[in-house]
Amino acid sequence: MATRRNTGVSMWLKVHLCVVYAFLFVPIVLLAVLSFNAAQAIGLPMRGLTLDWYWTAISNTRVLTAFINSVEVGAAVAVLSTALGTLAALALRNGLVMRSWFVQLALLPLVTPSIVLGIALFMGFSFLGLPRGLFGSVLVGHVTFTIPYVFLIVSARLSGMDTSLEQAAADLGANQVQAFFKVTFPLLQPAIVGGGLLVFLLSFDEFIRTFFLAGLDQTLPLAIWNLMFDALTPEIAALMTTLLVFNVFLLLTGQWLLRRTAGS
Amino acid sequence: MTASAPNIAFLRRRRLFSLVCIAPATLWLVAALLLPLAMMLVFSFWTTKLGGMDPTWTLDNYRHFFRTPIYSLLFLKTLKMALVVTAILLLIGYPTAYCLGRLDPRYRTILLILLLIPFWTSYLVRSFAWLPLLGQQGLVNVVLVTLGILDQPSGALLYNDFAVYVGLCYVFLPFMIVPIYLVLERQDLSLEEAAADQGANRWQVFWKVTFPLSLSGVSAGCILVFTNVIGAYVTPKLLGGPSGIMYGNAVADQFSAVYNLPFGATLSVILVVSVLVFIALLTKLTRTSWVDVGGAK
Repeated sequence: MATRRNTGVSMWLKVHLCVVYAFLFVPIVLLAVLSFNAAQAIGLPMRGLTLDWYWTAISNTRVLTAFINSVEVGAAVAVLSTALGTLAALALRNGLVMRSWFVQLALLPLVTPSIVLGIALFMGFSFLGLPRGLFGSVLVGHVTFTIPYVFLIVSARLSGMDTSLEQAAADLGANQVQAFFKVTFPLLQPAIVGGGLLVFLLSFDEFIRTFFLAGLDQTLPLAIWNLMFDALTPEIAALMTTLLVFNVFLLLTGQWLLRRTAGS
Repeated sequence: MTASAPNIAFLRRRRLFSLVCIAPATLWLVAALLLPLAMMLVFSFWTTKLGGMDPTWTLDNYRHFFRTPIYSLLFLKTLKMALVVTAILLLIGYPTAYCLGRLDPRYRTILLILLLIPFWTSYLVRSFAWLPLLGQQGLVNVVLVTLGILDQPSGALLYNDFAVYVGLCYVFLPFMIVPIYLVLERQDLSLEEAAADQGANRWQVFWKVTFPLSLSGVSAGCILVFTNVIGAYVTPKLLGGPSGIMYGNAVADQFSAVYNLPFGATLSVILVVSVLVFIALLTKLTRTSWVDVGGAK
C-alpha cells in the first residue's frame, strides 16, 4: 500500500511542496528572529541578540490587562459554546426532521464574511440593547460564530461511535440521563475538551468581530492592533512570538485530545 | 418494523430529548445570528439622521452605491482580487494537498502538524509578518541587494496592491490546502488503480478520477478563500497603504469615520449578496453542497 501511494508523487510535486512550506514558514520564523533583535525598529540587519523586547512586552500593563480579558472571555465562550454545540450534536444524532435546517443555520457563520458578521451583530445588539463590552456583546458574538466548530467536531465523534454500548446501558435499565452520563459523555469527553480548546483559541485570536463589538474594552488582538499604529518596535514581534507559542501549545494539546478520540 | 408499546414510549422520549437538546443552540442562533442579519437588511433601506436612523424605507443607499465610483469601483476591484487570489491559491494549494495526501505516512504526519501552525496562527500576526519581509529594511530587499539585482533597498515593495495580493495569498493558503487534503485523504485509491489497469495514463487517471472526486474539497476551499478575501480588512490596512485599500476598509469606515450606519449596512448587504452568488455559481458548477465547508475547518 505504502509503495503504491509513493508512485503518485513525482519529483516536481515534492519540490512544489518544499517551496510552499518555505513560503508558509519564512515569514513566521523571520518574525520570531526579529523579536530578539537589539534594534529600535523591526527589520534587518540584526544588531545583536537581546531578550529586552520580551521584558518590555510582558511589563506593558495595557497588554497584560488585555491578555487577562482575552483569557476570561475565551474561557466563558468556550464553556457556553461547547455546551450549546454538544447538545445540538447529540440531538441531531437521532435524525431529527429539522436536521438539514439546523446544519445550514449552524454553518452560516462560516460563510458570512467576518466583517459583515461584526457589523450585523454590532448594529443588531445595539438596537436590542445588549450592553457593549467583554461580557455582553463580545461574549454573545463569539459564542455565535464558534458554535459550528463544536457542533462539527462532536458530530464527527458521534458518527464514529458505537451505539451498542448505550443500547446495552438502556437494556440494563439505565434511563436516558443515566445512559448519557455513564456511557456517552465519557466517550465524548476528549472531543468536547478538544473542541472547547479550539473555541477558546478562536475567541482568543478573533480580531475583526471583536473590533466592532468590544466598545471601550480591550482584548489582546485589539491591544496588538493599537500597538502597530504607535511604533513598529520589536516589542510587537516579541508579543506575537509569545502569542504564537501559546497558540501552538494549546493547538497541539487540542489535536492530541482529538487524535486520542479518533484512535480509541 | 413492528414496534411494541414500550418501544413507542422510548422513541417518544428520545424525540423529546432531541428537541430539548436542540432548542438552546437554535434559539441562540436565531436570536444572535439570524435576527441581527435580518435587522442589517432592514437598516440598509433606512437613512441616517442627526442622532440616529430615519426608519423611512428608501433605495437611496443602494443608488448612492452605484452612483459613487469610490464605492462601486472599489467593490469591483475587490471582487477581482478575491477571484484572482482564489484562482492562484487553487493552483498552489491543489498540488500541495495532493502531494500531502499521497506522501509516505511517516512524513505526512509531521507535515500536517506543521501545516496546523500557520492555519491556527492569528491572521493579524500572519499579515503583520510581511512588513519585515517587504519593508525597506526587509528580508526581500536584503536578498535582492546582496544578489546585485537592486542597487539599493527599494521602498516600492510595500504599501500597494502587490503587497496586499502577497499577504492575502499567504494568510489564506492553508484555507485552500486543508479542505482539499481532507477529501483526497479519504479517497479510495482502488478507483485510480482500476482506471490505470484499464489503460488510462497518469493524466487521464487524474482528470477522470481523482479530480472529479475531489470537487467537494475544491469547492469548500474556494468558498472559504473567496469569502475571507472579499471581506478582508486587516491585510489591506496593514500592507496596502492608501492605494491598496479594499472594500472591507470602506465598509468599516462607515462605522469609525463617516458614521453612516445605514449605508454601512447597505455595503454589507452587497458583500453578502456577492458571496451568496459566488457560492451558488460554484456549487452549481461543481455539483457540490455549500454545507461541505463544514468539513474544512
